[in-house]
Amino acid sequence: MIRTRMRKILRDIMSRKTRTLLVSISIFIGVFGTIMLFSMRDLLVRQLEDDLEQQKLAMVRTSLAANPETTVDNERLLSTLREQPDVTTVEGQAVYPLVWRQVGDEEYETSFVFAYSEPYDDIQLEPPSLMSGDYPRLGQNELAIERRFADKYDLETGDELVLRILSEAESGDQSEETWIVSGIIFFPYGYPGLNDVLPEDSVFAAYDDARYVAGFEGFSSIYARFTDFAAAEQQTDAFTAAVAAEGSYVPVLSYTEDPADHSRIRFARTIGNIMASLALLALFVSGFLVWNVISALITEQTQQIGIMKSLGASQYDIIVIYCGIALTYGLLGIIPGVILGIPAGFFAAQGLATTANSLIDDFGYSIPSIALGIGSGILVPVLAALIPAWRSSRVQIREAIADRGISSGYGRGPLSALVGRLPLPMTVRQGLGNVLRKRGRMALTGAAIAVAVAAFSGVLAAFLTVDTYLDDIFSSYNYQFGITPNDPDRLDAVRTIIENDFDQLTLRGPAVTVAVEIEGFDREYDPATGPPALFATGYDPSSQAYDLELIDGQTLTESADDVIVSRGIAEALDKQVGDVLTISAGGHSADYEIAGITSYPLDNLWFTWETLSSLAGFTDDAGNPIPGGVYVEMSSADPTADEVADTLQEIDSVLHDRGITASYSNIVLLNESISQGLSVFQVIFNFAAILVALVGAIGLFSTLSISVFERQKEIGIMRSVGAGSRAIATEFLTEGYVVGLAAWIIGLPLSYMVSLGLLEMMNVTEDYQSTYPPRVFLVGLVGVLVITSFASIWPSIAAARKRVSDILRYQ
Amino acid sequence: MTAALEMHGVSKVYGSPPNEVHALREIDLHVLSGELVAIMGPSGSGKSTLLTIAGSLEEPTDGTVLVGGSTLADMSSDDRARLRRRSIGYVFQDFNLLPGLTALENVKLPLELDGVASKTARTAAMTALAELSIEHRASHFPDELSGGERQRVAIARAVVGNRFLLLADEPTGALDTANGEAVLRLMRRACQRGIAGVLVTHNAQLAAWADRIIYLRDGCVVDQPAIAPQTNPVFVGENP
Repeated sequence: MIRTRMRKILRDIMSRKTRTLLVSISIFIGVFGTIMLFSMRDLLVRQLEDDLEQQKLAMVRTSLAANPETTVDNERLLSTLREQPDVTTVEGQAVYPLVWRQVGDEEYETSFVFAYSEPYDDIQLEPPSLMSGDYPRLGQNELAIERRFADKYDLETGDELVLRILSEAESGDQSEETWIVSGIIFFPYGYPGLNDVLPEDSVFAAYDDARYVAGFEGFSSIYARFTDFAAAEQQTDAFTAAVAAEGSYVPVLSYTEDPADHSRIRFARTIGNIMASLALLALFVSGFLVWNVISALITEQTQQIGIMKSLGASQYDIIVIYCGIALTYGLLGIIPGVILGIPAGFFAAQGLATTANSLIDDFGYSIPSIALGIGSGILVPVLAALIPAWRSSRVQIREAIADRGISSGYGRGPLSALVGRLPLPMTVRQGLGNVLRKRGRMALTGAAIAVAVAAFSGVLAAFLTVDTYLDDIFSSYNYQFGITPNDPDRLDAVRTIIENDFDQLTLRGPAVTVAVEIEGFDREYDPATGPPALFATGYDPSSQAYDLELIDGQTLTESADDVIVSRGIAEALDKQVGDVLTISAGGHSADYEIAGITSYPLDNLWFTWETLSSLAGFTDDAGNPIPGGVYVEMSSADPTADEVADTLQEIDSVLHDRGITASYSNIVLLNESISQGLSVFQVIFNFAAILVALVGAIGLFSTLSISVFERQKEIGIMRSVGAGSRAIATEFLTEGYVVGLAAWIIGLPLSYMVSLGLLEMMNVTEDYQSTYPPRVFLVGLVGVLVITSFASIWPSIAAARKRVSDILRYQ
Repeated sequence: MTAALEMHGVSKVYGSPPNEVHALREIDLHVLSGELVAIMGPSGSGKSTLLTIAGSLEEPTDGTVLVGGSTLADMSSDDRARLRRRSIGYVFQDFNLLPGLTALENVKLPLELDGVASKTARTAAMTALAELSIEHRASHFPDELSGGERQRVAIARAVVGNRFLLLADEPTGALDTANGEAVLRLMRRACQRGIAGVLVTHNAQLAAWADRIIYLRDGCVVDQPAIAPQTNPVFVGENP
């Protein structure tokens, strides 16, 4: 019987090549997607775990600003901090702009130089790792470059770079020096400072050398490790206070991160899990198709089943035959799915690694992902086939042999009766009636499409909401960039230069940005999706640097010690206009009255710059507040990030000529970077959603094709009584559209949940999570109609083309 | 009297050399309005092919077919579908009723396909069912009807409206003798109202109900004996 069973399985598979192809393709899509996306996640997480060595990760990172009232003493600071309770390691890190050019070039580039309190060989926390050459040595005019910097500028060890000596620029000296590239470094940890420092802009030098070429005062951050993470969390405030008390620096922001749960690894894992889940969903959906196909096959072959049973085939034999067919479908999908999924997973991981500040060089694969793909590819179709196969095995021999494929209840029931009374053309009623008659099969197909609608619309809704979210954030800015001179005393000079030398620019007043804490407000921010702290902005209200939409209260007055808070903060604290908040920054605290509440979607506070600088301790010797930088608006309407960058380069060049070094914040670039970063994820999510949609479309296509096959006689009869091609096609198209529309209606609430999950994952504030852009309804409907049309049109045409004489003669 | 169906030199070849099968060879046939013609012949002689070509369900390889004076070859597929809806009725051996539709819905199907208002179609269908004494089963589904009842519904569907050509392929094959004769009686009555009928059958006794019998063998007409009026059962067993 085994050989007979095998022959029957293979003949059934071969005799319906199109159906076999469709089912196998849908399983292939699921297996391919599962292996690819799970491999991508595994390879990326594995690489990040290799890169970000847990025992070398800092537990507390404190960003610093040099205290304008004192002189920096790094040694004293480090020894003070090393004596703090539970501290095991403390190191300082400086990251500042560096101006350089290639030998023979005239154009200068601005990159960032990294320097450390410890010699490179002795760095304990988040050390740069040497890939080739040597670490830069002090006093030897050497610097090392990040490997992506080397790739970007086509540089290698031994090449020379011309550096502007910014420490001497203040005196008006335009000196340059030629330094040599001592080695190539891989730096996977990144720099979580206020400005994004990209690996392709990173170079490394010994600390004193870096100060010499970049002209900075001291560290930009302190990294610390404690006996354990619990101790780190407990001691962070004391640690920050110790930094402030020592006096060399003003602590701008301190945040903790558990080395065992690094935000970047967690984020990669979460993203990977969601995408891979969508792929598994596609595979699961393909199970519906297998179920449908096996059910249809059994309906067609009920008589054969009866004959086999009459000849002695057991229930087990029948189940094996139909599960065997499903298994064969699975194997046909698995083989190409594995062959293509493994390299696709590697390349996807390689592509995504760059967005996660990592690099994957060597080809890799994930055995668990492959096993999952193969296992699911086998189990899903076999399990899907099990119930219809089991049912078929229980059919009574007499009934099976006499079966004509039409049950006695065919066309009966209240719904069928209702459809019969609808004032619709007969062909449309026939289509509706068939959906009702085959409702189990249609429900599975509809469920597959509903899942596709949910995935696609959910992703679309989430990203449209994020667009609105970003628009609401960035439309609040009335400036395109900010300039923060490394020496705050030079701010007046910067303002004068901008006013005199750049006609197309308008100053939007002095400004300062500081991380703050509000008493009673302990929301945590994920470093993977934004700055890990609550920030306050100090600005000049008369400059109109911000266009804040107030939902209550009034804007700031220049002299008042009051604050504007974003809605999220007010709601979390249950505070109204007129209530008082206790706010601390840089180790100081004070009470402020809420003047207004704005609809700005991120948590943020706004003060006058004088108020905030005073709070944070940014004061001169006389105790007067000093601003950190200045906001600037360009006169051209909606400048691009590149246009802003060109202007900044021009300003930078002029400032260097006047001996001023500065950092810049390009708001337009920030907006574009976030949008581009999101668009990468959107593409990947859409890819996964399209996989599901594709499987759904194949499911509908197959179901309708089966329907055409089963109802050839009906088509013949319809033709014989004068139904034209259009009438026949309408009947089958009606079925497709009914299933598609039902799937759309079911898929919409599901898509809301998908959107909610994605927005939650992207840390979009709660106000936005509950929104669902209305146009998604329409786009979803159009999408369903397109999918349904594509899936239905061919079976409908095939039905319309049936040769009626053949059908009726040989049925 | 005008010819409802004309076939001139109709041939039908299936397949291609060397495996071609000549189902029909140079057939000439005229069926007048009100005339019932029986086609007889052994299996594979081309009877059903002749009927499907006459019913525009299939196109001849060669020759011309005219239904109601219109040449089928000159018609588009939509025109032919319209012709089937309005002018040609088909009755099959196994009834070919749509199982999801009631008897009434099956009968009014061609009218509704032709865009006739539902109420009008219903009236016409009920009339057709009443003429065949099956109106009391109008709301029943095909599997609730006996074989004879099913075939009467099929005939009602074939004659509903203003059809002038009734084509029946072994309409009594699935029925017992009594029901078979009843079906022929109904066909005969339809012809008496002016409808031209073509009946394919193996059964010589049933063929005797026809005005003419045409014998086919290997796709060729081999004999067309006339039937003496006194032997025609319609005059014996029926009160027209």
